[in-house]
Amino acid sequence: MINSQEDNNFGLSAERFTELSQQLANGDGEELFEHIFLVHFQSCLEFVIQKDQAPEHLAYDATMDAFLTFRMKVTQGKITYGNLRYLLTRMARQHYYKRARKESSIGLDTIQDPGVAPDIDFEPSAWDLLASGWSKLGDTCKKLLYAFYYRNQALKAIALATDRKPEALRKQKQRCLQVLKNVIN
Amino acid sequence: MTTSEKLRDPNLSEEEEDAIIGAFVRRYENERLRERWQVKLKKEHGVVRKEIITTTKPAKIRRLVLGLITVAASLLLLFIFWPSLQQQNGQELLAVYVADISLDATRSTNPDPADSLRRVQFSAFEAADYALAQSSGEILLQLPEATLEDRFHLALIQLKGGQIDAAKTSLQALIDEDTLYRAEAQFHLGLALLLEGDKTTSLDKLRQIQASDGRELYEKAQTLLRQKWE
Repeated sequence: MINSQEDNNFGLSAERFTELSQQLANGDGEELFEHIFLVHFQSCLEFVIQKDQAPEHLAYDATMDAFLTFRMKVTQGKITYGNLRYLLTRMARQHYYKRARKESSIGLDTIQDPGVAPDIDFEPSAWDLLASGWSKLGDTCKKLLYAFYYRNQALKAIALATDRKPEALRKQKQRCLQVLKNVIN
Repeated sequence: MTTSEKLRDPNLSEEEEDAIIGAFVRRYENERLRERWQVKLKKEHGVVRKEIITTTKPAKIRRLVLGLITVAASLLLLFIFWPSLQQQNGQELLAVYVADISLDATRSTNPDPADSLRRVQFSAFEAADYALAQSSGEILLQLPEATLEDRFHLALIQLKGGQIDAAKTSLQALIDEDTLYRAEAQFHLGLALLLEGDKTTSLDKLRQIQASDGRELYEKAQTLLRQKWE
C-alpha cells in the first residue's frame, strides 16, 4: 500500500527529505535532486495545462520556473516537508500566472509562500558585463556569493560553516562585489 | 535609472547593491540549471518544450508571407522615394530583409527523386523548422540530382536559421564559382555579415552588386547602403 504522506512528498520520507535538503545546501545533492524531482516534471506540466488551459510552451516554462524556485528554496531551508507535491504544483500555477500576466484567482497560500518574487530587470549590456565579471571571480568569491545570495545564508552562518570571522567575510564579500562592479565601470 | 547606472553610482546603498547582485546570482544559477534540466528532461524523460509555431497549412502561410512581402515592398518604396526616411536605423531594414527570405516553390517539370526531399525542405522552412529544413537540404546536396538552386536554398535556410558561419561558407562558394546565383548570394552574404555586426565588409560586398545584376536586387542593396549604421 502506498504511504499517502510519502506519495504527497514524491515518495520521500521526512528524514530522507531533510537529508536531501542538507546535501543540496552543502552543494552535494544536485544529481540526487534531479533524479528524484525531474521525473515529476511532466505530470506537473500537465496539471498546469489542465487546470489553467495553459498553452503547452508556457506550461513548460512555468513548470521549469517552479522547479528552479523550489530547488532554491530547498537549499535555503525554506521548504517544509508536508505536501511537497501540492506546493510544487501551486508554484507552477503561480509562475504560469506571472508569465501569462494574469491575476491569480486563488488566494495566497497560508501555509507556505511559493515566493514568486518580482524580477529585477537587467538590460542586456549589464547582464553580459556581470556574467563576464562572474567568470573572472575565483572559486572562493563564487562560493561566498552563492551561499549569501542564492542560499540566502547570513554571513554569520557562512562564517560558522567555514571557520572564519564574520567581519573578515564581510570584507571579502565587498572585495568580490567590487570585482563585479569594476567590470560594469 | 538602469541597472548599470545604479551599480556605477558610488552612493548606491548596500541594500540596493545586495538586491541587484542577488538577483543576478540567482538568475545566473537558474539559467545554468534551466539549460541543464532541459537537456536532462529531453534525454532521460522524453519531455520537450513544444515550440509555438502552429501547423498552419502552407497555403495560409504563403498568403501571410505574400502579405508581409507586400508590406515590406511598400516600406521599401517609402524608403526610396522619401529621402528623409532613408537615414533610419539600418537594423530595422535588415530585419525586414531577413524576414523576407523565402524559398522558390517552383518544381521541376520532370520530378526526380530529390523532389520529395525538396518538398520536406520547403514545408519545414514554411513552418519555421529550420533545423529540419537544413538537414533535408544537406541530404539533398549529396544526391546526384542536386542543383545550384538547392545549394542556394540551403544557404538561405542556414541564414534564416541563424547558422551564420555555415551560410557565409555556402554563399561564398556560390560567388567564387561565379554561378547563376552569384549576385543573390552576394546580397545575402551582405545580410549575413550585417547580422554578425561586420558592417564594413558587408557594405563592401553590397557595393559590388551592379544594376546589371537585377533591378530589384540592386535597389535593395542600395537601400541598405543608404541606411544609418551604428
